[in-house]
This record gives sequence, structure tokens and C-alpha cells, in this order.
Amino acid sequence: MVTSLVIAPVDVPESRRHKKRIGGITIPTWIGVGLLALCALLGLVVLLAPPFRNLWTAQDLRATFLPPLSSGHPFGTDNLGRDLMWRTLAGLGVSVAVGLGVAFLAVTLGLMVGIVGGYFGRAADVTSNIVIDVTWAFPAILLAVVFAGWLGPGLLTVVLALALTEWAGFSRIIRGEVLSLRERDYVSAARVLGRNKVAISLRHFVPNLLPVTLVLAVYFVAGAIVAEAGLSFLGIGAQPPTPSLGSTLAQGRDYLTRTWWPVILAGGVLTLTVLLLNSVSDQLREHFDPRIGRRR
Amino acid sequence: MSPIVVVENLTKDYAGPSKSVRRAVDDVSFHVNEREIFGIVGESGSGKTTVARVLLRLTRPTGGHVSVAGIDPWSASREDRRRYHEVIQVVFQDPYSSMDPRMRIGAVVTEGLRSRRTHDRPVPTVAELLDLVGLPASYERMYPHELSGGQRQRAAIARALAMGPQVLVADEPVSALDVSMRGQVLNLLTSLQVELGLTVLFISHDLGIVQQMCNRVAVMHNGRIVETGDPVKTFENPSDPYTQRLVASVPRIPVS
Amino acid sequence: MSAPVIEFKNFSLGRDIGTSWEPLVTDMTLQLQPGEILGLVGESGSGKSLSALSCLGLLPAKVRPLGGQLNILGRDSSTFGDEEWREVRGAQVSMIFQDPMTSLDPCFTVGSQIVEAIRAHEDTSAKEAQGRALEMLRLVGITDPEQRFGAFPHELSGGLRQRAMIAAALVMKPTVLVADEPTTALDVTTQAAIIEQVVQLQQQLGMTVLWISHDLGVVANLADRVAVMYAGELVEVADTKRLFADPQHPYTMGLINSARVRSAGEPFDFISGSVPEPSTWPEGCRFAPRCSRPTSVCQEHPAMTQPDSGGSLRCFHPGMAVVS
Repeated sequence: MVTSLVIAPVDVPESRRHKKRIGGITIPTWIGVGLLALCALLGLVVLLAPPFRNLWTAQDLRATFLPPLSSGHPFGTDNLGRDLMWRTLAGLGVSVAVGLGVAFLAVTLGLMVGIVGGYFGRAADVTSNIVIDVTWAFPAILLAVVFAGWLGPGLLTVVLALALTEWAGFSRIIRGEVLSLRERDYVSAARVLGRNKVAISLRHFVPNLLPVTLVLAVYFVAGAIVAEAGLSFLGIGAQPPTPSLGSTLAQGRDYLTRTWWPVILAGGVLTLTVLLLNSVSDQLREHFDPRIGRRR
Repeated sequence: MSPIVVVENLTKDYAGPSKSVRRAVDDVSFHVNEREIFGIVGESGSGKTTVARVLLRLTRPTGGHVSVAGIDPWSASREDRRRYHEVIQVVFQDPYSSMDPRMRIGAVVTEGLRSRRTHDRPVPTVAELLDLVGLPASYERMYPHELSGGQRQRAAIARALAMGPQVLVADEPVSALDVSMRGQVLNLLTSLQVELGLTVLFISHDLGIVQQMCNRVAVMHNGRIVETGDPVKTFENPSDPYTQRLVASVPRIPVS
Repeated sequence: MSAPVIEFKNFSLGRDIGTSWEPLVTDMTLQLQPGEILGLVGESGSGKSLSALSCLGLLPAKVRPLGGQLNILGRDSSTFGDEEWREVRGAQVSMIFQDPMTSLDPCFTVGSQIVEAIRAHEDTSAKEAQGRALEMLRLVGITDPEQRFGAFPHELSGGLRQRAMIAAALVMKPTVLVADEPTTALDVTTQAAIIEQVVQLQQQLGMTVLWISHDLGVVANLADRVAVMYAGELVEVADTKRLFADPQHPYTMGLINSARVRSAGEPFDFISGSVPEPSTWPEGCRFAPRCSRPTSVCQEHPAMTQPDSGGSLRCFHPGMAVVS
């Protein structure tokens, strides 16, 4: 008897469909990442490219509070007659820039402190723990007010205030991961091979921490975007004429009795962006988690 | 024959719960001669792995002295400490956790070469190292998870031998492997020992393997060495009550 | 011969890999006779653990029976729903695992878990269940059961924990005990004690035991019959004495030789190559690539045969027959 290796399933219920993958990543994740990249690019170009600057700064006091779908202003205009579509896009650019800046700084700092605390001896661990505890006790908004008094309000203030508070939680997670990684046999083997702590950190810890770092970095971007909007709403963040989704919300509030669309537009874009970021982060986590996703 | 590994009155305490102290290694002394395969057998918690970790400079001893080729790793000068990695190397038990899953085999086996200090010997290439342990050169580009357990253990041996050590610590090198593949790795270890004139410290719980390949054996129990001697004589005629119990417990395959 | 308690009939298992099913166990025919201890031996990926888990309906996600039949105490298991499996588990077929921590909940005391096992199947008072739990703990060789009853799993040593798990598994006096490498993580001295205990209990309670192990030495000292699995299929089933004295399948021979101790200084025996992954199983005889004497006929897939010497065998060239 010759048994073929491929056996037709007998009376087996169809299992749940397997998601198609490209390069090991599911299509919804690719779509999410693509949409995010598109938004980020669009926002940054509108914000930074000089030809676009005039579009979101130009005032026209004869055309204030135009409703959406007015000719030449698909999203309408604000109290100074500035085009809301361009201002929203530029605001998105501000959000993206702040989000990326905060995530980059917080992740770099968090990785360094986490690895040092987890692997460079007891003294380093105790010190870094104290720093983390103190940082954690410090609300971002307080730090932002302090920086605003020192550096003046602005996006740099926002980025610094958020990054210098956000890294602490991330650092704790990294420290925990390092405590587990350092006990792996391959780390012991590297020590016996004469590699020093810096080499082991760069060679073994950082690459193995990359998945968790990436997932959390995306969450940081989302968190920073919301926090920036909050701080700008309070007037600590983006200064006129730089449009931020938060400052658009704040201005919109002043005229809420007359017009609703600036608030709805800015708020809607903010919400959608953060939702998209969080869902991509979830999917990345699923991708990297061996218990859920497929092992790479 | 001169001793190359010397362990004298070695003690290691670990902090237990609520200020208690657990003595993992208790006043252990032994020596290993050059070009000898020395076995340490014992059950989990007997302290055999702790002894190895002290020798490998991974675990700081509480008391006593160790030295390998004249270097005491715990009181050596900076330069001697750096040279120490070319004196003693290790193969761990679990080939699944002893290699970074994100490094290719080529990078794994050459990881230690950058910390080599002595330059009178030629630096081996990846192909030479893989050839030494019977792996095809094409494995250089593979990731550890693409190899079988036995192949991974071969690569782990190559990584250790890249440093040109005099002493190789093999900590349960085959107990994570399938039974039918253990012999391949053990025969490789034995032939490399002869070929390269290595001294091997072979740590195992498998009395049969130790009996077949070791020149001398120390039996450890509760942190102490209870018996030392020729493995065949020790296991056929154990004098210590624990060794007697251990030998009696080993499940044996009936001889046909 | 009375009816088998567990009967695999051309049973096969596969894993869902999206577009198709990757076979993990194929064409398994094996009968577990009442009162015997059957050793199921194999290396990693042989399918021995999956075969055992299917006796309790505990297959991992994505793994399902693909064909054949598995009868448990005379009933076709493919008809079982969740309710039937719950009845089978513990009361009729029970299982002990390699790592007791996977089957003992760390948040509850050992005793309360045994009591729960009783009350899940029977409507008894807590007091009566407690009495039976204590009796069971004593029966598995725990010396001070009253004290251990209130202990949490992590407070016990590996050996005691394994005994507690055996007590929980046997408290319902199951007909069949499936033991999946229960002593592999233990020291040899503890292993010897546990094996002795299980054999004693098996005789006392008249149980049938399916003992899964990669260690031939353990099985040699324990089992009445031995079934050897390789790459998802049975290759040889025989009485223990016969199997070790006169193995017929080249894999069985190789495995026995690999595990046997030789004189000092002699090289170690091994089987060349490595255990294949299910995706790379050859079409023909799955052992042929590692076999020392394959022939052209081994390109075909051998069926299980019943040789005159007893037992069953899957090989074109059994025994020491010289093939030209």
C-alpha cells in the first residue's frame, strides 16, 4: 500500500481562513502601514514645503466661517478666513512630526536606560530605578509648563516634555526584558567568548528587543499626538500661525456657537489617525508575538 | 600528566528566601589533568553546573580558589582575564537557547574572534570552523532554527573551538538531543579532544555516557563530591551510598 | 482476548497549514489491551504525544484527526462532543504530563485540586471528597498527606509534585492512564521511585497504562509491550522482551544501540542524519534516508505487517536479513 503524503481531510470542519501574507505581514497590516505613511507624508509636505505655506497661512477676512464644500474651500474656512483643509493637513504634519520626535527620543532614552539598568550592575539598576520613579511621578503637563517658561511655548517644548516623561514606562519594560534576556545561554556563551557588556547589549539585546520596541514606538506616536493636541489646546504647544490639530480645536471652541465644523474636522482627523496607529500597533504585536502570530 | 584545571575548597552560597543561605557548592576540590576527559555526574541541584560556571567566570565563588592553565579567573590581572577566553570555552546543554535566534551561523561561530588576544595562531575562517565540526560551509548563511539540534550543537562546538581553547567545558551537551543523534555529537567531541589535545570537563547526569568516554569521574551530591575515580570501577563498584543509589536507579536496557 | 480499551484504527492526525493539512500521524493501528502497560517510544516529532493527547480529546489548536478511527472504551471518539469528552477525561481516561506545573494550578492547594477533580465527576460532599483525596495522596506514596494536602504546588519538590499530579489523575480510578514522559524532568533516583509507584498502582487498581517516553531504558523496565514510532507512524510493535532481544525494524535496532552503554573508550552508536520534520517526510519508507541498508523497494511506502514472530512491523527488510 502506498500512502500519499497529502491526505484529504475527512469530515473536518473548515478551519478559520488563514490570512494571506506578504513578507510575513498580513495584508490589513500593510494597508494600515501604507495609509499611515501616506498621511504622514502628506502632512509633513504640506507643513514643511514652502509652496504650500501660503495655502494654510493666507487670510481672507471677507470669507470667514465659510461652511464645508464652499467653492475653493472643501473643508470651509475659519474665523480668519483661512482654508481649513490645508490647515488640517498641516496640523496633521505637526502631529506626525511631534509623534515621531517624541517616539524617537523616548525609545532611544528608554532603551539605553533600560539596558543599563537591567545589565550594568546593581548600582546602575538602583540609580536608573530612582530616576524612573521620579520621572513617573512627574506629570508631562507640569514639565511642559516648566519648559514653556524656560524655552517659551512651542513644539520643541512639547516634544521635550513628552519624551522626557514617556521614556520611563518604556524603560521599565525594557529592563524587565533585559533581565530575562541576560539569563539566556547565548548571553552566557558571549561572556565566555570574552564579549564585554556594551558588545553584548548591541549584538544580542538590541536586536532581540526590536519587536517590542517597534510595537511600543507606534503606541508612543499615538500617545504623543493626543498629548500634543492637548498641550496645544492649552496654548503651550504650536504657536500661531502654525496650525496644530489641538490649536485648531481650541480656536474652534471659541466660535463653537457660530460654527461647528473646525472642531469636528480637527477632532475627527485626530481620532482617525490615533485609531489607525493603535490598530497598526496591535497588528504588529500580533505579528511579533509567537503565541499569536506565526514564528518567523 | 600535570593538572590544568585546579579547584580548591570551592564554595558557593546563594541567598535563599528570608535571609537563609543555600549552599550550592560545599568545599569542593578536584583537579583535571591535561588531555583528560573528566566527568562530573550528579542530579539537578548537585552543584555540578555551578562548579562549571565558576570556572567559566560566570558565577562568582563564595570561597575557595579555581585556576585553569595557571590563571585564577577571579583574581587575574586585566590582561590575564582577557587571555582567559582562549584558555577555556563552553558548550551548553540546550542548543535552542545557546544561540541568538537573530544571528546567522557564520556570525555565531565567529562571535568570539574579535576578543582574541594572541595573534601567533592564524585566525580560523568560518568555513574551516564549520568543516572542523562536520558542517557544510553553506550553513554559514543559515539561522539557528533552520538546523537540527545535533547540527546546532556542532555549531556551538565550532564557536567554542574558534577561540583555540585548551579546556572545553561540555555542560550536558547531548541531553537535549534526540537519542539517535547523541552519538554523532559525542563521537565528534571525542575525536576533537584527541585531534586538538583538548582537556574536557564533561558534565552529565548520564552515567552510561560518562562511563564510555571519561577517563575519570567525580560524583556530586548536595554540593559535595562524594566519590572520585575511574568511571567503570566507580559505577560497577560504588563505595559511597549515594553513588550506589544513583547507579541502581539508572534504567538499563536488557543486554541481548 | 477481551475488547481493547483504546483502539486506533488507521488513525491519522494533521495540522492545518492554511492551504492543506500537513500530516503529523498517519495510519496508526494500535490496541491497548485492558490491564497492560504499553510503552510508546519515539523521538521528537514522531507523533507519540499527539497520539496520546487524542485519547483525551486534548489536541492542540489546528491539529485534527484526518482519518481512521479512535475508539475509547468501545465508543467511536469522533462522535464525542464537549460533554462526552468531559465524561471521558479523568473518570475513564486520565493523563499525567512531563511538567506537573502545567496540570496543577499554582493558585490552589494540591488538596483542593484533587477534591475538585472528584466533585467535577461525582456529587459528593466536600468532606467525603477530602477523605478520598487524602487516601489517594497516601496511596501515591506521599508520607504526610494531611500536611501536603494544604500545600501549594510550588512548595513541593519535583518528585512530590509529580506524585500529587498522579494522585489527582488517579483519584477517579480511571480505566486508562496516559503518561506522557512523566519522569523525563526528574532525577534518575526520583524517576525510579515514581516508576515503581506507578507499576504498583497499576496492579492495585487494575489500570491500563499508555506510557510515552523517549527513553528506551525506562520502557524496558516498565512496559509489557512496546510500540515504536518514527516520523508520524508506528514502525514496530512487540512484546518488550522480544523487542529488545530481537528488534526487527532497523530504526528500533539503531535506537536500542544508541541508548546502550558500550565499554570504555568505544565510539558511540548513532543513527546517521536527523529526525525529519513532517514537511520533509519522504514519500516511500520514511526511515530509508537514515537506514543503513535501503533498497529500491524502499522507495515505496511499507505497510504495517504482522510477522510470524508476533507483533507488527513496517519494513520491507525485517530483522537481520541480508539484502543484495
